[in-house]
Amino acid sequence: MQAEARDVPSDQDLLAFVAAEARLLDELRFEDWLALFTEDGRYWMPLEWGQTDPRLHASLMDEDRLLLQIRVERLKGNRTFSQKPKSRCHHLLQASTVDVRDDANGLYQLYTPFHYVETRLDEQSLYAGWARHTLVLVEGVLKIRLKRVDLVNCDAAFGNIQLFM
Amino acid sequence: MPTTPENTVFDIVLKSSGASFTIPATKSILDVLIEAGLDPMYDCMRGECGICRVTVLEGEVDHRDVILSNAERASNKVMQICVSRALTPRLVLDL
Amino acid sequence: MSRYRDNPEAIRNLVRETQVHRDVYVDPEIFALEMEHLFANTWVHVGHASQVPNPGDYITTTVGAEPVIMVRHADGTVKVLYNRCPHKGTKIAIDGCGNTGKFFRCPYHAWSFRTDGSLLAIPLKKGYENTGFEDSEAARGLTPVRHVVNYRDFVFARLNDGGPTFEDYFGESLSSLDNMIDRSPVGKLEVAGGVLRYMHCCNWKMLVENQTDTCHPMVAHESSAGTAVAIWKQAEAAGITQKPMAVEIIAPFMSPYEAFENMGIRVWDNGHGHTGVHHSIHSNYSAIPGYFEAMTGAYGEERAKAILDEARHNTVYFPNVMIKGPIQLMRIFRPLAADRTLVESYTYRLVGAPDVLLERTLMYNRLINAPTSIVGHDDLEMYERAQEGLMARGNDWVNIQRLYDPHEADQPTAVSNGTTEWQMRNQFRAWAKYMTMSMEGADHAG
Repeated sequence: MQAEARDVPSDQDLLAFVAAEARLLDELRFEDWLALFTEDGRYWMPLEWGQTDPRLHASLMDEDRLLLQIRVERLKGNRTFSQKPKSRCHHLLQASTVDVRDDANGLYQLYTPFHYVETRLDEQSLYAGWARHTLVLVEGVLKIRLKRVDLVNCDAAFGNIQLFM
Repeated sequence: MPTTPENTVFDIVLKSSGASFTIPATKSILDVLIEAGLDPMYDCMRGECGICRVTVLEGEVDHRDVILSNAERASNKVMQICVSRALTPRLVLDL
Repeated sequence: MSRYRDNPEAIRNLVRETQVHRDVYVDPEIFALEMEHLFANTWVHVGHASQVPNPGDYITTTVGAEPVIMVRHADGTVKVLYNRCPHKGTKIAIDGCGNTGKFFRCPYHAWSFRTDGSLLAIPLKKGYENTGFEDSEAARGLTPVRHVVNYRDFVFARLNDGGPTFEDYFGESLSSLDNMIDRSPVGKLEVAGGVLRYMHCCNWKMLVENQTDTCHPMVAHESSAGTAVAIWKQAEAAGITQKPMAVEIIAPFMSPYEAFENMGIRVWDNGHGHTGVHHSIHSNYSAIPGYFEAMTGAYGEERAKAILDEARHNTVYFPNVMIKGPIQLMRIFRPLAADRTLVESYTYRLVGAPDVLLERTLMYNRLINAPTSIVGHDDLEMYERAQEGLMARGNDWVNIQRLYDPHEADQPTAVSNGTTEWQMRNQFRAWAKYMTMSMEGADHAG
């Protein structure tokens, strides 16, 4: 569902990208998911409501490709005991809105309210929040430069959150 | 407890600084102190909560609060400066 | 039926020289007694003075199970008050922090209190005239915690009147707090960057023990730190030379046993102790430009080096605090139930030092202590498996025997092999002492 054939992705292409990304996570295809990020791509989950600073204020996650790769690799590991048995997840997305369309620079920002369920053993946790994707065209293909995930209860005390929202 | 329907003008003197202020008919002691840049303790501004209670050193108080007991009023030693006024031209307050 | 209440002998029998009974982790009555006794007889960390810089500033928190307010009083001192209206018990402050002005006002009936807790006013107070109100508990206002010490901005409280003085309780262990504070060129810390809150379905003591458990990282964290090391090796092979700060932080968790053995562990009286006597996983971080210069400018080169060469890993302040001086971080293990613990991880800015230090502190906290941390996932999995496993009654005892020395109880302070479980034994000796100290009929010499 990526804008490979055309120079400029349609809104429909952008929305389909976000939906496909969530589907990869729900199908636990983490390596395919990681490949959606640019080389300098980041996954940011702020700790503070309306947080603007990822550097001098704590975040739940603020990860570059290297850290994301470590995570993805760890999830497969034989001695990753917190994944025995493995977690599963489910994304329920509201239709995204295209907040920014900058065709000249091939840059797009989407806003996607979501409910996310992560489950393992008999426990199931529900999270609600908003995903903000900054997508860029790299050689005609949409990639994620930044996925920002704001939880509605970002400052609550959580148990383990092991997968990706 | 009798209250005066119309407000009179009176002066207050603060013991600590010796500063004096004239309280016009349209303002409370508390209003005047806040406008003067002082930092008195207060909350309800209706004579109910008791927080702005001040010790009275001289003068006679026209009590208009709803918190002080009859004995406290009769003692003329305390007042609530958010609503209460003076029966004498001058009050000296322990502020 | 009560098995442990008013029964100090039964409590003491839970702690043997080299093992502890599973009830200390799973028994609700033991937990209730810990809240009543252990957390009342010991000096418990309340907060940091930088959280309440101005008169009227307050934070709300807990000491054991008890809600308290830490507030900056009009005279500039920091007070700790029980967060409970003397009238009906309503918590006076609910916000995590704020400024109350010159007084607290209960939101229920508008009783008001000065910031030292004393009663200021009650609406319709005339209704209490001739009722003997002056002699009531309520007339005293918000109850202050009477034993509060502000040690270089770290505020501790002891709820009970009995118990050791602050100086006797902490003794030489304060050297770890001193070192963390001295790492600021002006000798001052500020709480900064937000607090990570991580819920654990396990007993609080499992977390405290794990702080000096040096035989688990290379096993439990093989999945996280081991993977990080492997991925970084691939990156290096692909020609990346600049080691990222994140790899500097995670990779040392995979250090071999020998490194941890040589690291050393120091124990102090009353359950305090630390890993990383000679070196630690924090020893080989890259220098931060401008920092050493600021330190030598402030302290002189010799003293600056001495401060920075101290690489203490985890210092446990019994009962429920751990600090990392070289990282400027504190974790508080808040007991909520026998099988429920809230871990709060605070970070500090070194006043007068470059921002990059705070950046590294925050990165460390995020990578290791967040509910989204892969290292945290490794640990919590072990705690929760232990909490469930300890329901088995086939074996009632948890083993803490590693490198046991029969004479160690006679040595309140010692340095030992870095893989010893001495510090865990030290904690449980203190646990038995402070659990039973205030029990009826208890021998106060403990």
